[in-house]
Amino acid sequence: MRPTSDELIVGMRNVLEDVLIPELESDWARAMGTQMALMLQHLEGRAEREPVFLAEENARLETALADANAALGEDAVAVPEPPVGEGLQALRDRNAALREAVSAAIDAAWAQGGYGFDDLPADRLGITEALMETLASQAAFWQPIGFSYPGRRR
Amino acid sequence: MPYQPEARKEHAAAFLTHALGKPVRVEALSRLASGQSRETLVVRTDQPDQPELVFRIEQGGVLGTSSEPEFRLLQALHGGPVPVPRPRWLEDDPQWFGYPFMVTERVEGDGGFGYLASPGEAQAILRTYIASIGEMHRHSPEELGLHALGIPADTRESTLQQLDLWVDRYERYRYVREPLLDEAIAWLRRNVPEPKRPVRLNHGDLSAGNFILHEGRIVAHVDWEWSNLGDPMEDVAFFAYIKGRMFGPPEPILDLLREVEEFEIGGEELRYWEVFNYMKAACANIATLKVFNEGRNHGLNMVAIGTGGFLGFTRRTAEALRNRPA
Repeated sequence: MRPTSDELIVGMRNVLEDVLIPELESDWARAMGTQMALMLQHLEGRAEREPVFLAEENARLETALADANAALGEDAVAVPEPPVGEGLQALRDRNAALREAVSAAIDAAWAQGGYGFDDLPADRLGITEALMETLASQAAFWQPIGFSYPGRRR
Repeated sequence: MPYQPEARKEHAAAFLTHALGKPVRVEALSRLASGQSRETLVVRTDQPDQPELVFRIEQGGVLGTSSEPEFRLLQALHGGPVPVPRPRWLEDDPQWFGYPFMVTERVEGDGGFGYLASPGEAQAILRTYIASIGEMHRHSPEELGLHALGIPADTRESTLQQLDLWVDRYERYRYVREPLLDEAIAWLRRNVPEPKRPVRLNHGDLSAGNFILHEGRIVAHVDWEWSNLGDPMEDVAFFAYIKGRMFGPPEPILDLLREVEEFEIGGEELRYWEVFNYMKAACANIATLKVFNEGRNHGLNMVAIGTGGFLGFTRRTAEALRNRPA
């Protein structure tokens, strides 16, 4: 059916930016109008993007958990059962369960002991890079809402 | 109660009529667009004996703070060596604005940060501000009249208290775990610095925009909701690594802070407090999402802070942990 959801969102954003925001008088109203425009831009295509994004992130977390458990040996943590249902909620639930399990693996690594000031369990488990990628891809997913952080610059 | 200027005028007038015991009309009201944790309104009344007033209205838990500790602190500090606005009323009755709020007198001066556009002026103001930070940290809590607020035995105790406070906010407001933040929190608990200096008043959110400048002097420090009695290295690292970046990179700012502080700034301790402050910022930022999603605050900036802001500070936390000396 036309217009599609995305076409409607684009239409609303055009009106907001071209008609409404220029008429706003207070700083606060203009700030909110701009945030709304960014949010509408984020919503364009989100329905298609989110399941793909979550499936990719879950795959990355599954690999990180497997790597962590291999490094933990007999202290390996439980791996969450695969989801029963399908769809977006199942992907979200799986994501939450995997994150709990990865944090539990980090706790288990701490419990193995022998850490100095500069030693970290995620490094010892070999999962730091995967977890950093997860943060970066999350930040990319939320664009253009919010602040972007380009990485450390000293 | 969503922000509507005319309704806010009526509600402010009703409150002031109640508080002053005589009819009050609000002649002008403006909302400051800066500041995330409070709706901040500057109010001018028709009362010639009343200065302009600043209403700071809570936002349903944004950044996880409440007004009462801040108001009590202002009461204790006002008139002492650390300049603050005069506190007038603390009100927790939701009938006026929907949330608790406090009212202070407006301090004459400039609370904006337009000077950042002029590098020379910004550096001069930076030096003035840093001198005032040193002054803030020079006084004991007893000298500042803060006995009643509960003074921790030492900086180790206060650091653990602050950690508990921020971690509690993360646990209450998050939707999912963030493993790298969990790792950092455990690291912070394991590596709390041994006490090396006395407990001092931390502002907690030192920043351009959180002080009032008048005729080249800092005439008030404002926005104390993250304040605590603790290790002043918290303030040092927060300003140098987070908000001070509005003025420039951390190292020159740390050098200026070394000129005014009476303790050593550097080494593992500095790295500890750098990591601590990124963690603190991440935990504060995540609090905004539930506040927005549950309809307690309609500000769309809440979403930006709870997504991009949270993720950015979590990443900085993990990177700072791994920024090992060569």
